[in-house]
Amino acid sequence: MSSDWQAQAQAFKDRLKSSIPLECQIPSHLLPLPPDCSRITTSCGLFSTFELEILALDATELRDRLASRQYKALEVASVYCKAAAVAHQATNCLMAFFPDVAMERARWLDEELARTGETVGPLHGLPVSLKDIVSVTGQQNTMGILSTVKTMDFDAAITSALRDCGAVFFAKTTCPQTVMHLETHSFLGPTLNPFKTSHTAGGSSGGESALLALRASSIGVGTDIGGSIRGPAALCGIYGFKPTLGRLPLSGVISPMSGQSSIIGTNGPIARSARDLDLFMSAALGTEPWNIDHSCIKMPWKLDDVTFIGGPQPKVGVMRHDGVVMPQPPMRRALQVVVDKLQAAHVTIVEVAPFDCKESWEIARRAYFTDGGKRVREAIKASGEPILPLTQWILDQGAGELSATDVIDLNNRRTAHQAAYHKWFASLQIDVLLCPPAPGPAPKLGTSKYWGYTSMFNVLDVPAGVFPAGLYVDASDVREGRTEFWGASDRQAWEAYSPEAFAGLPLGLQVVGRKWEDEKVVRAILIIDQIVHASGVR
Amino acid sequence: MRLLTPAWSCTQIRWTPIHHSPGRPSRRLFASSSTDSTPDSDDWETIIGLEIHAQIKTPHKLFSRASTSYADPPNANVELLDAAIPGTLPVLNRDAVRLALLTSIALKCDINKRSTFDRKHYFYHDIPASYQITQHYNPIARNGRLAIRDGDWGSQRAFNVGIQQLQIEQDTAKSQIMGSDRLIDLNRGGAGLMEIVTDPDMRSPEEAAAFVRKLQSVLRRIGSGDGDMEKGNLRIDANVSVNRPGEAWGTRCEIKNLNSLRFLQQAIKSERLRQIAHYTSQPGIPLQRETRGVNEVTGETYSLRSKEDAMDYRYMPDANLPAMVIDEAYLSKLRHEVPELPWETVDRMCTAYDVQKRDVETLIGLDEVNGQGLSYFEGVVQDDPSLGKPAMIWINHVLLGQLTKLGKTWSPEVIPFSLMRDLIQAVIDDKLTNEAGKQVVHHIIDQGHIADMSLGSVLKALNISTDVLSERALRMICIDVVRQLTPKDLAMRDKKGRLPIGMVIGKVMAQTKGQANAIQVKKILEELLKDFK
Repeated sequence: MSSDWQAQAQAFKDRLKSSIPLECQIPSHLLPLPPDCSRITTSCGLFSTFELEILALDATELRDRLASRQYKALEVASVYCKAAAVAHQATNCLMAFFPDVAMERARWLDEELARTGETVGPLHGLPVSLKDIVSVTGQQNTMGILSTVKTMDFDAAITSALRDCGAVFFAKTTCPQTVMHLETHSFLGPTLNPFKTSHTAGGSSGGESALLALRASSIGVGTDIGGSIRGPAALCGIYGFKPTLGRLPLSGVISPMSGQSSIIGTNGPIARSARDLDLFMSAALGTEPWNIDHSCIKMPWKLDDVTFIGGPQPKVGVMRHDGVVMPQPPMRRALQVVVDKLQAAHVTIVEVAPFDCKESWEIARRAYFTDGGKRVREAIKASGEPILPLTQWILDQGAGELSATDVIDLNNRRTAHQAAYHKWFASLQIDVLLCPPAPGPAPKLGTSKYWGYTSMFNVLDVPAGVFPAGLYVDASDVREGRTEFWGASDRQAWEAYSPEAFAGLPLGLQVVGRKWEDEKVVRAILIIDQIVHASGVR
Repeated sequence: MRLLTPAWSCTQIRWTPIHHSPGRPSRRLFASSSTDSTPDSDDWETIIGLEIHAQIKTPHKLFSRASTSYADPPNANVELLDAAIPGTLPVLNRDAVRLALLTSIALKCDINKRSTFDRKHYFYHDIPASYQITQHYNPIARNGRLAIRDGDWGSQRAFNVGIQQLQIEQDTAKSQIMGSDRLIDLNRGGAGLMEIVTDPDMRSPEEAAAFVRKLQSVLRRIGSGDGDMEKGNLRIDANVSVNRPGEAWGTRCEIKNLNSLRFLQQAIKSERLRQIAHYTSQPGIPLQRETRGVNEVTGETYSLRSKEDAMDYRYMPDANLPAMVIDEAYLSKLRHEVPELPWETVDRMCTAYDVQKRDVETLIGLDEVNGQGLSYFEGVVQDDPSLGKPAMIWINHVLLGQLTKLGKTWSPEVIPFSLMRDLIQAVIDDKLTNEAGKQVVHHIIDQGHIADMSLGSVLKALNISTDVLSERALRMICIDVVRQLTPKDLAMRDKKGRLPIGMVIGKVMAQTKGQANAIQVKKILEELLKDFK
């Protein structure tokens, strides 16, 4: 049995590997790669200056150049396919790679632009990658479980919206076993952080974050039920946004716990600039997906209609910690640096005591597997593959199989919690909340066990995004001596950190809003990002 | 004509660095390696509509007196008009109109009392005038239907096929390339056609074929066409699209010039798979709406032209032909002239003679044009409905069965209906055993022609008496046969010592030259052999 699943997994990996042409293999003299391979595309020598120029652009700029016919979609697609192949060799971030499909699509887009004189849509020719469970016709979904590998014969609603916008799909990216780790590890092996390959790229959209951090995709589609967009984006130094549930269409994104509705995941963008988050949301909602799909509300994207309490700039509440786990030193520094920059730019800052984050986690951990993990355990067992430690860990956090009464109680508890947050937020008289997206930078592989900083906003179902602070862990981020801890998680986070082990990893921060105020959060990220990165677009 | 490369064919990708230069960068062929299971094509619906061109069966062309005879040498049947000699004028063939009207009535169409003719322009060898006279704007009939029943030629359901319109138009000439020459045969040019356009009501190749078969039977019964696809007298274009249940219909492609039912079905099947393969493998590119041909060797379709290359035919009313006005009195006269349609015949006969639908259809199929099969049956039965069932058995199973076995074809002369009637009557009256009757049929077919086709003389020739053996005589023969069993026969006994009864019956039947009743023989033998050791 065990050799069986191993053979299956190997066959899957071999198939993936054989889809990467020899021309895209990292030259052997560069192997083994150094721990920091964040600049692999520039250093591997496989790309011309012209190609590196294309790879350096954020989606918005690339889109503009495609639309003005500076580049052909075919050129862009082939460069990104090549980059994705390289990124995969460095970080193990791909689950499926289909350059031939992408090339045909790009060629058609070029022909349409030439024929009609108009772009097919607002994302005309942009190479877009998608996380494993976001279904694409003709490609596989795995959910990180061998027995559930399946070639899909339909598009997820978000896939089809992006297709209508003119996107070019070329790759699907890894997710962890059951899609429920804050890392990305499955029968395909772990996905590595490009900045330090002994650390995780985050999860569960870790394939997306590694790919985008290496500039090997223009925009990615991730999913988030406990931090799966925000975590990996922050850990890889890029941008991510989790909208309120229902802003984006959900149909066709298939998780192993579909049907569990005490806490529901949503999809959202992982991107390389703040404005790309806006581009994704406005393009996707511009297709009016509510006309086709039942799972989203009729609410067009209106970024320009946002008004801040704080006037032209948002009034920002700063939540330094969640009262459960004290952020590690570099995270505290990043938050302080950003707060200083915002204050210098005359943004009003309000210090905010933590909301009841402990309660958020109590609800979340019970809600994820209301069946006590029966379904995922069976799915994993079906192929004989082992239950990975982080899968076991999240299953252990649950409260076993809940009765219908338990579920009703849990849902009531959740709703009460959401209501309390809404009132609490209103009482603060702020536009957005600024807080860490995790206890610290990317943890060592296999050690990510604290979800609280992101999962609470899934329980609360509010929009939240992350942006890079533009800072990296360095030797100055020394670990302070502590003898008293808030609890086991707090102690573990403190123990795990050392400046030597974490040096060089990027730091990101989280911006959170109130339910349905998605535009406000994205707008705030745009403004904060501009202040933090005075040079503008990265 | 431009041939488009199919969108799903192999792809070229650049893997070597692209440098921004106006020159074309080098390209490499990339073969996909991940070709795992494809989604099941059963999850897709197929939508089929047909366009049928059926030659109208009249001795003359649609607008000239030239003959429409099929077998004549090339360019034998050409009047000045057919060659588009200036100064000639079209004169409408009224018989063609009559046949088109009868067909329209049979297809339950609304008849247009005032239809008009238009010119469809294009420049090609097969159309000397550079335009075809047709009925584009105002066809002679619209809005009809043909009902397909469950089981009709393999259809799995009962449904109506809507007839969008039926129009009269000219056929084109035949054009053929031989070496460096292009040869034109104007014999067919200007012959009358009915173009029949259906609604997209068919859902499988079998249903499309069932519709065509049924339409053929209508044309033949009415006499408006022979529906002969082999001769090109009935040609089909099929519009095919696929979609998932519950979703909007896909883009349709038209497959041109299908000239046999087999190609029709094969082409629809392969076109359906092609479209599904496109939607599942390359969902990022819309399916091109195009006109396709069928490769008669592989059964696969190939692109002829895309919709964008569609010609502008510059349709305009034909100035030489006034509107065609159909008088109501004439129309109601025609309504009475429409013969009994094949399915009406089936219904009538099934009720009158208590026979199977399939058997009646076999009779109709013997001669769809003149109905000789049916008249033969009616000749046998005459005014005795009780003969219906046995007559069906003797004609369909015995007569046709033996003809098929001997590789011969049926005609009413093979066994005259009067002889068949006598034969069946004799069997019913127990004057002749079934076996003897079959022997008679076999003998006549085998001989080909017999001077005296009376039952008596045939029986005499075969040395069969019309007295069926008495039971006593039969018992004697049986005892005799059992006594004469050889050791070899006895060796065939099974473990319990029982003889294979069929073998013994065979011996008795041989001995009696088929004059014995097999059932009776079996009964006697069973009794005799009960204690046989």
